[in-house]
Amino acid sequence: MVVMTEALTPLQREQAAEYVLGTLQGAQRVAFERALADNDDLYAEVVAWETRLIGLTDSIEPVVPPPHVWRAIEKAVALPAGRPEAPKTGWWQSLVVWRSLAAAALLALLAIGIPTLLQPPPAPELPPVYSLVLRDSAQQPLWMVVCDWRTHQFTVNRVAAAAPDAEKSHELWLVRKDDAAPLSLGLLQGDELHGALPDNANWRGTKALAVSLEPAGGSPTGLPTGPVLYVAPTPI
Amino acid sequence: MNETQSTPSLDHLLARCALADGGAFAELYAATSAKLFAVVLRILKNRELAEDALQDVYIRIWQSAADYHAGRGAVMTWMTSIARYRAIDMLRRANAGIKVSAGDADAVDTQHAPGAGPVELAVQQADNARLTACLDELDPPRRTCLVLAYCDGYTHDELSVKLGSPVGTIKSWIRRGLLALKACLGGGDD
Repeated sequence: MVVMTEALTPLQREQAAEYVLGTLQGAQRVAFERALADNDDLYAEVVAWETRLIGLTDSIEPVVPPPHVWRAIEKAVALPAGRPEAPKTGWWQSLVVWRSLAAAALLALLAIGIPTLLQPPPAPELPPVYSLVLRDSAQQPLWMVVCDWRTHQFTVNRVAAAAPDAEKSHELWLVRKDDAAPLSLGLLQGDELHGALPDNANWRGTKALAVSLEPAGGSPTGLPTGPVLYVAPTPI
Repeated sequence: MNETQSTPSLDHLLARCALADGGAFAELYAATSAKLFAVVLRILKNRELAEDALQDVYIRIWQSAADYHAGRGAVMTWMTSIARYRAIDMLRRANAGIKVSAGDADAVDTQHAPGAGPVELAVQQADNARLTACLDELDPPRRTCLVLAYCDGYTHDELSVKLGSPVGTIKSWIRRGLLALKACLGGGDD
């Protein structure tokens, strides 16, 4: 790298810094960008400045963009509708398919803002597969959950949820209609969680998923004991 | 960078985007769009323009995913840079011919909690402790110039209005501020 960046003139170095900062303007900026395209040394200098200064964005609080932005992007890039590239191995295939479906469903929910079926069942009797998103009060997605009522399995993917304090756990619950007691789906730990939906739950009788704050290790009673932090109603 | 630590899968998601995996792209968007939207919104200060910018940015990310490699910096740094440059380009175009007034320039401060201006916030909350320390070492006017230029897209002229100093002085503050930062932070040459 020493040799590489020594190839730059002081002016080029100065321009690289001001390009990243944003104060290199007008014709100079255009000319610099043109030079950047085929000068690896210059590019490395720019990356070094980008890396030095990126911490300045940490003070900028995230703002969730409106759903129509994603719809426009999806349309513009003509997304292959969650279709994964032909995978080489079995596990990868299942992971990609699963994640693609989950993500597609998440985005569909984000995009439309109303409950959306991932795959409308071909026959009305067939149990559904759907995804829902647990969000915080700022509507920031924290976890997305895919419930597959055909296989009676669910998967949780952490989107942006932070871990609770050490002496607390986040517990996921299936909330049933008709005031039946909620059923625990387990503790939300790590980036991904797979599990079976309880035998005594079915899609028609399920109202929502919820997350409560429990003592470390989960509710001692089998029912939510702590505050219910997040609720996501089922789409059907 | 904390972004890459808190979302360790960004590299994988981007790699899968390069293989035209639309699901990975959707996940990448879900994981990063709020941050990038905030970054472009901060520069453009106009939701409509910021939405257009964000759209362009993700189309660009999708199209350039295959070109990404570690030499281009961390994924979040790479993506944030694409977003910033796009927003700055749009800002310059939108402002072409429009002279910024001191009133416009001051408006930025009102976006934040009283007591802490954007410059103080950026300095205090910079994740990188070294960056915070190095920014702290800068003379206040130099620090202000760097933060307002980087986070808010200020031009030399706008900084001159904002700080009430001649453009030549602003340019010199920026140049020396950048040199001092580089000397303090190091990197890039070793």
